[in-house]
Amino acid sequence: MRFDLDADQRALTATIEKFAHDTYGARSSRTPEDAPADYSVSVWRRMSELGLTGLCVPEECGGLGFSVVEILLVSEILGRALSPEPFATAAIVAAKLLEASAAGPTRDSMLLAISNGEVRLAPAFYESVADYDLQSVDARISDEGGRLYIHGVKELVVDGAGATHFIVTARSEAGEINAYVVPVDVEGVKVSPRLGLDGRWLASAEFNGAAVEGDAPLFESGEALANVEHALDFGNLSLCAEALGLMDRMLHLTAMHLAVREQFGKPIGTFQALQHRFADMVVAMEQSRSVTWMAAAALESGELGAGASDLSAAKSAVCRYGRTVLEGAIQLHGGMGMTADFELAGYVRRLLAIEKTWGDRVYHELRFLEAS
Amino acid sequence: MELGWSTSDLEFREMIRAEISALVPADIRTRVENIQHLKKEDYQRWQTILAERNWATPAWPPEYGGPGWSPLRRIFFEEACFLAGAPRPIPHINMIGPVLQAFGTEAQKERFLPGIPSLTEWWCQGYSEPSSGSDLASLRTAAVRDGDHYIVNGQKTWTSWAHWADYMFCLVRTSDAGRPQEGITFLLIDMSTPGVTVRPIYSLDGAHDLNDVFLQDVRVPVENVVLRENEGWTVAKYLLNAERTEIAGLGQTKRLLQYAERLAAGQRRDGVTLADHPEFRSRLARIRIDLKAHEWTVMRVMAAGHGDASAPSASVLKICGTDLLERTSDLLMDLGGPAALAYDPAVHLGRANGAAPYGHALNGTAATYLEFRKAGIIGGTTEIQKTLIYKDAAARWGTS
Repeated sequence: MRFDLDADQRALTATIEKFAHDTYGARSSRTPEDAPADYSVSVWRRMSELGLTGLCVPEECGGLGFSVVEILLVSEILGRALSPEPFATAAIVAAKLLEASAAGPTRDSMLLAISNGEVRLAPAFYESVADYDLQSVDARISDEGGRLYIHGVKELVVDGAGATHFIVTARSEAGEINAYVVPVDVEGVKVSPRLGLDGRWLASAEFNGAAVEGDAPLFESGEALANVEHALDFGNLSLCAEALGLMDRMLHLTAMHLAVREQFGKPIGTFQALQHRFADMVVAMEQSRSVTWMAAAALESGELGAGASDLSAAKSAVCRYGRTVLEGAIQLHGGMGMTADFELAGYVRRLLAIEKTWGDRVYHELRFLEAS
Repeated sequence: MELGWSTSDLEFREMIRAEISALVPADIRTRVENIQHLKKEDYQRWQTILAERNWATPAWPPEYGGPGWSPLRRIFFEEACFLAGAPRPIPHINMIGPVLQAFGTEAQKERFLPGIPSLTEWWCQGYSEPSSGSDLASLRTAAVRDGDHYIVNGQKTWTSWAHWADYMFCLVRTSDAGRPQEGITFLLIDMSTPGVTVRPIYSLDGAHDLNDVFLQDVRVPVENVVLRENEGWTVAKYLLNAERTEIAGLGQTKRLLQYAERLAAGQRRDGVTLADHPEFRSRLARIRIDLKAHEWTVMRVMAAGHGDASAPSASVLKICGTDLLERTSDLLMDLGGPAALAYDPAVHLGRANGAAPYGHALNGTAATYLEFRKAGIIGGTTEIQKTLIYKDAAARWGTS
């Protein structure tokens, strides 16, 4: 176990930091109301040239074949820059799920296209907006002479509005949950964009007899759900690491404000009550980093189901600690902290969006209890 | 960066668990599991057993007889000890030991280091004074040179285990010139010297751990100065750093959590065990999760070198450890339920044998709650730590 970066990891970090700086500027000034502040196809292409879209794709499918440490490094930098690109969805969850899927032309061609930046797959697993139940699936597949068609509605599809494909859970004719790839541009797909809390575009995706890519499910009978959960664990790892970048930037903004803002004739950072509130934020940030790294270690083996307990511990903790950081940042910025036009706003809303994506604190505390 | 555990680390973990489990004497294990306080002899007996295997000083460097374990292995060792019901490590081993190794003369090392691992010589820490708590540098216990001795006059207080101690490492004032920090000297005092008087201070739970130590014309040979006269603050700061993993309270929190889980599983309310009661289940889950985070924070700090600004500071460790100790003991107070109304201090504090009125575990709940109110006070209060964290952060971020 080592926490310092080796030469390759430092080089990767430097590359991504330069990309983030060139693409988003020294500071991000995007705010949630600047919609469509969504991701751009040209930036996604550039990320694919850097290997980021294929970060976790196996080398034989055109990717870099990296694992948890690289996910941590890249996600944190993207978070600090408030990058709106669909990294956790398309480059992590979709790629991980496809990688785990049964060998076949769909798997290999999609993985290659992910690496090349030609496709952006949005995971579409949820139908209810009341919980994060992956098993409440009413979407179904009809088999018409070997051609598969999908019917159903998926909600809260993260990064769904700009996706080229969905990776969807649905029930086979036998009633078993499996996963399928469905292109956006086939007949019978209706995408309704929904503006997300963080200014990124979600979607409701309606499938009315849309043709399934490759006319085959991704998994052997009975294997899909566990693999979906496992892919989401990696997605949540990326979100936790992204949250570290967000928190780091929020601490930085707050520290600068405390140093510069004057009241009663002196910088407000000289007041102990404010110093102590800030210290609470630092502690929350460090605990978030520790617990995220713990989850990465637990997921590293890649074995199906391994690390679920630690990942849920981490996600629930990052949700909780994240509130400490964002609430402190708002409070210590005073009126400015309440302002949509100020840089902090985008960070606050992205952190809350991360909290609500793929299981919030309550969901993951319960999952932790059940898994441990 | 490599986050996984190697096979050899995991083998070590299995090995150390099995070994430690077999080593803990049954009577000590019983008292630890009954949440009873231990006697001086219990700690000495356990450290002697560890010393025979060269495990008594896990954090010492190999050249001073440490086992040369990685931070991860030290955590596995600590974990094995708490799982097996061993006495908790005595913090002074990692305070005075590293100080003597870093600043002691050859004669001091030769004289004092051998007595530490097996606790054949017990140490106490003479820092706080009645008027000098958080503002430690204002201390006034004075040492005046008289030939080849100092004559020490003053009072130390809140001194843990002074009544068991053979020696005290002590901060004394040798000069009033310059900043208060500049006139302080680090001195080793033999507790049997004429003029040293120890008076007990009883804690909220009735325990006698703390003491006043009165020093009246105590003659201390000049060779007992560590580093140099008026350079004691340097030593004190180094010691603070050396004890930073002690201050994390990882082993103590694990013990308290284990205690809470045991109690929760054995008590029923509203038709379910407290472990399944929604209120306690959720609080236990958050404590377990925060403890996992804390454990990784400890590993990050242990893995980083001194002065590595990218690692969390000792203050972060102290605050997280305190938070966990406070919350877990708070939970214990609630888990105690109505039975916590009764308290037999003699049994809990190990002064009497026999059964507690409603069992040892329940007898210990309120006492443990009261004991761990100390967590945010000792070793630098939570408020002092927060001020330090802000200073670090302001230096890192505040000006760009």
